[in-house]
Parts: sequence; C-alpha cells; structure tokens
Amino acid sequence: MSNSNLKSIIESILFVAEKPISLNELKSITKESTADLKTVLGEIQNEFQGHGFNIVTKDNYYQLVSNPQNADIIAKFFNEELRRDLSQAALEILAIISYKQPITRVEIDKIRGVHSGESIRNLMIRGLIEEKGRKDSPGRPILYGTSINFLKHLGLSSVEELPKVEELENSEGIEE
Amino acid sequence: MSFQIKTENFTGPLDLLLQLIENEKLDITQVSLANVADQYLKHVEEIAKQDTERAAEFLIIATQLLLIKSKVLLPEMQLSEKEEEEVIDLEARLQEYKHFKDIALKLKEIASRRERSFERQTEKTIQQFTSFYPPQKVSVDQLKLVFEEVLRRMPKEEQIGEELLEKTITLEEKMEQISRSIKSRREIYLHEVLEDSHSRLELVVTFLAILEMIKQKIIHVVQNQLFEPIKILPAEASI
Repeated sequence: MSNSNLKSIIESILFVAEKPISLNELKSITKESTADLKTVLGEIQNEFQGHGFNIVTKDNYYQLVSNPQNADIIAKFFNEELRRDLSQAALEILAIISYKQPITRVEIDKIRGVHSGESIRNLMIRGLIEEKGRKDSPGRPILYGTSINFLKHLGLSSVEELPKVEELENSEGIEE
Repeated sequence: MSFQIKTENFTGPLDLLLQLIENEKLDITQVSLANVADQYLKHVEEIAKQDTERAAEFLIIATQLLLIKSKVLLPEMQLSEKEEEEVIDLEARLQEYKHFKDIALKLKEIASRRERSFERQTEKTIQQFTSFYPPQKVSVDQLKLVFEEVLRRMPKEEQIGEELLEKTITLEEKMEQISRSIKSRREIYLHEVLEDSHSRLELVVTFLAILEMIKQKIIHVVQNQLFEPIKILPAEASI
C-alpha cells in the first residue's frame, strides 16, 4: 500500500489501541515489512512535533500518548495529582537499570553496594520496571528492565532520549 | 574539619565513601581512599549505634579501606593477589557508582520537569481511578488465581546464609594480655608474645598493641645488639 495510506492506518491503530502495540502486531495487520513500518512510525513522530501527540516506544512496542509538555493541564483535566518524587535510591536503581538492562538484582546490589530488594519491589509495583525473563546462569535469577511506563513518567519517547553518558562504555564492569 | 553527614543523606557505603571523598575535593584514588578511611569508620560507628543491621552493610567496604590505608602507609607491604584485586575493585566500583549517581541526578532533573505523557483513557480506565470494576464473569476462584499470580511475580526476599564468625581479638584485649604477662614475668621476649598468635590477624593486632603500649609509655623495648632477641620491659624499669 502507499506510504500515506500506511501512515494513516498506523495512526488510527495507535489511536484506538488501549495499550502499547507490538511491531509484530502491526506487521500481521498491515502485512508490511519491519523496515517500512519503522520508517513510517518515525515519520509520524516527526510530524507530531509541536502538536499534542507523541509516540513512545520500548522493546518494539509503540503507544500513542499526549505531548509531555502538556502534563500539568492534562493532570488537572483528570483531577489527578502528578506522582510524588522518586526517592534517591529509586533514582539510582532506575539509572542503573536504564543503562544496563537487562540486569539482575544481585548485579544492581553490587553496583550500589547495598541491598536493593525493597526498592526494586516498589519500582515494580509502580510499574516503572518489569521482569524481562531470566538470566541463563546458576539460580536463573530474574532480569529487570525499564517499562514503557517509565518513559511515559519522564515524558521521553524512547531510551535513546535518556541523558548520554560517554564514559560509561569505558568504565570497567563489575565481574560476578 | 569535622562535619556532620546524617545517615539519611546517603544510600549506602559507596555513597558515604563518595561523599567523603568529594567533600575533601579529592579524586578517586588509593591515596584519597586511605585519606578518608578514618572518617568513614567514625560514621560507621555512629550508624552502628542506631541501627546495627544497617551498619553491617558498611563493614566489607570498611575492611577494604583499611587494607588500602595500610598499603598507602607501607608501600613495601606485599598484598596477596586477592587483596590487590580488592583494592583495584573498590576504586573501580566507586567510579562506576559515581557514574550512576550522576545519571540519577539527571533523571531527577527530567522528572522534576513533570513532563509526563498520558495514554488515551477509555471510560473503563478512568473509572479505575476511583473504584474497582471487575470484568463481568469473574469469580472468586479467578480472583484468587490472579492474586496468587501477582504474589508469585513479586521479587522474593532472598535468605542470606548465616555463618558463624570466629571470635577475633581487639587491640584493647591484646594490650591487656601483654600487660598481664609483663606484670607477672617482669620481662618477656617479643618473639614469645608473637608466637602466641593463632592467626595473621592476631599477629598484626599484637604488633600494633606493642607499638601502642610503647607510645603510651606503658612498656619499654630493648635490643642490646643487632639481631639479638628483642626484650619487652615495663616502662618504669627502663633506665
């Protein structure tokens, strides 16, 4: 189908969907290639600049959301309090998980030097992190990653928009 | 130049260590780590007074700091391969932790802008804010299953294995011991005192005890000729 037709279809699907849609779902509905779909999604997002919409994506899931700059008004519209600030510990853990995902609890503990179990449970309950399977090592520990909700919470479109840290790639990792 | 760091202001041992180093405006090096070791220990003592369980988390790093401090004070001291690794490890860990702390700060900035994205709310979702509307055909059994699933998914507390630690001897106890030996025998030889030790740790503590007692003028140490056995005498017996 033509590019503008595909664009129109994807916009509608994203609009009516109640939760994030996977690339595979879009593929099976539209019968288009991954590359084409991704291109169109990118174009749609660009066209949203300055408008009230945005597309947020994580792990090849996509969701249509409101422009993060309008958060205050929308919260008022829903009569909802914008969530309380995250604690220092929660921020540290989110920072670690964002950049090292998927990562196990023990690996997080090692980096922070403290037990993080309770904070991790809290972040799970708040839906900011989620299980991403298990590590293929003794004990098969759970792997954690950030959720699409985490991005929505911060008003980001994807993990690429997280602050850049060049030195991170050069620093030595912790050995298990 | 002592200052107060409240225990609530740091999230753990690495955070405390980092704050101490940054407070002294130092870089993360072995020398600066050795530098702040005493301050770190003071803080751990304070924490132990309020919350021993929390203090336990700070102990491993405390021992690593002491190792680093010893190495800095005695550069010729030979560390085992494992100990060398631990030293390099602490520096690297602190660097990495600092990194993530910086990132956390940036995340905090982003979060404070309160620019949140909302997804489209259908009528169902709006109602969920105020009351619980289960799907039509749900039964008690189904709710039970769902709840059990939620519980199963929550990360579990892991049982940390318990181990008995060997009793170690403190500096004060060792000084007491040596004091008593001197009192009953008037003079003892250094090698006798050292031979009594059951572990390397005890050897070190014994040595430190003797140095401390010399410093406090409780004992006096004599060696008449090069390589002769070293004698320990009570201080008032010295000429």
